[in-house]
Amino acid sequence: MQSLSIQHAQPGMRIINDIKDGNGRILLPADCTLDERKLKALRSWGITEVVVDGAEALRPGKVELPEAQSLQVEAIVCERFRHNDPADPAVEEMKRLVFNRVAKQLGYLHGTAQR
Amino acid sequence: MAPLSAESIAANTTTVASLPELHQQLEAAILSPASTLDDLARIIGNEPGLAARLLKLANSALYRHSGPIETITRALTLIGTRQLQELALATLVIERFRLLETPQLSMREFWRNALATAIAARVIAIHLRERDSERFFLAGLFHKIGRLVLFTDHPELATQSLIQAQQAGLLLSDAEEQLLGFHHAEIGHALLKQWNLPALHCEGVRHHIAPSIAPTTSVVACIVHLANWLADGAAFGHAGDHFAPRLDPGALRTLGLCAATLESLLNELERQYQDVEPLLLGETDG
Repeated sequence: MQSLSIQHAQPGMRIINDIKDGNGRILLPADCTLDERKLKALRSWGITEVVVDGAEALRPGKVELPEAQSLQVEAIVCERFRHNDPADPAVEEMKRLVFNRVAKQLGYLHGTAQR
Repeated sequence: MAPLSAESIAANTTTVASLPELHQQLEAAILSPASTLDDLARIIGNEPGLAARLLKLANSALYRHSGPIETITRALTLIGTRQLQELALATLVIERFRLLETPQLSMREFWRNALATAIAARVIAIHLRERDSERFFLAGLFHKIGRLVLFTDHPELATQSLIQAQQAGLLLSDAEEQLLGFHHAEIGHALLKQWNLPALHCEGVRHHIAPSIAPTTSVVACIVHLANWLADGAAFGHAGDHFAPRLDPGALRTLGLCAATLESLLNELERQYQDVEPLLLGETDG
């Protein structure tokens, strides 16, 4: 079971767990289906992640790069995180984020919006 | 000569042995029931360029205010006296250290890394709804100050630690530990104590490398640890490390954070960093 960042949550997704605030009060019960209004409310409550049905498949991946570039970026990321446990989900997620960041820094992301 | 210890390195440093006097003046004024916001503003105004810099920070992406803040008195009201005191301290300490030269470490890159860690620590603290998020900013900013002292005061040991780390593929903090018997966090802790900073900052710096093995759980240390991991992992600046530090899984558990939160934390760090870096580390122009 994996949680999904609220940025990637979309209407129609079904949440698996109760969503609670810091005091344990239930904001949205398990099994309810997200819609725009509920997503807006979750954001305004400061909720940053939700556990939804099939979240694993929905999590954003790495950016698509030609193989040579991809291998180069992967090598940089793996070297940088060599003292970290690759099986730790937080390490795995950070490596994905850093992969995209390094690809951007190397100028491999053509046509992506500049800040 | 007595063997080197973290305490002796801090005690003998000639770089920034004590805090700027302005910090103590603000401290005294904040504690005095007779002083007013205007008194605090006057103390800040005595330091050339400081008021302008603080106003820029008050109007930066660090804060979200509805309108521009144009005076220090107003900034003190909106941001808080303690918060502004900590920002003033951050600005002054960076100013002093910026003039130093170390052969192996670019001062600008070092402070970029420190600033990113400071911003990340504050972003995490705000996410966790911790009170007084500037405390975390300062603890993040100073997390590797011990290394800066080591590099400026003992360049030969610094070089040795770098070579050792490089040859064996070690984390620099592990190489420091092998070489000295302690690492930069211990030196930083000793220095911050010498500066009379609150225990909270000191503990946060001391245990930032492996917060899980601290004798008592320190939320600040966990936050600084995660902030440093984000800043080093995403390569904001450079403070001598070739690798991202080891993530302490216990720190995330203590803070109740999970992998899915990292993206929004990193995005917010990036956004604030882009805005604040030129303000704090840009050329001095008042």
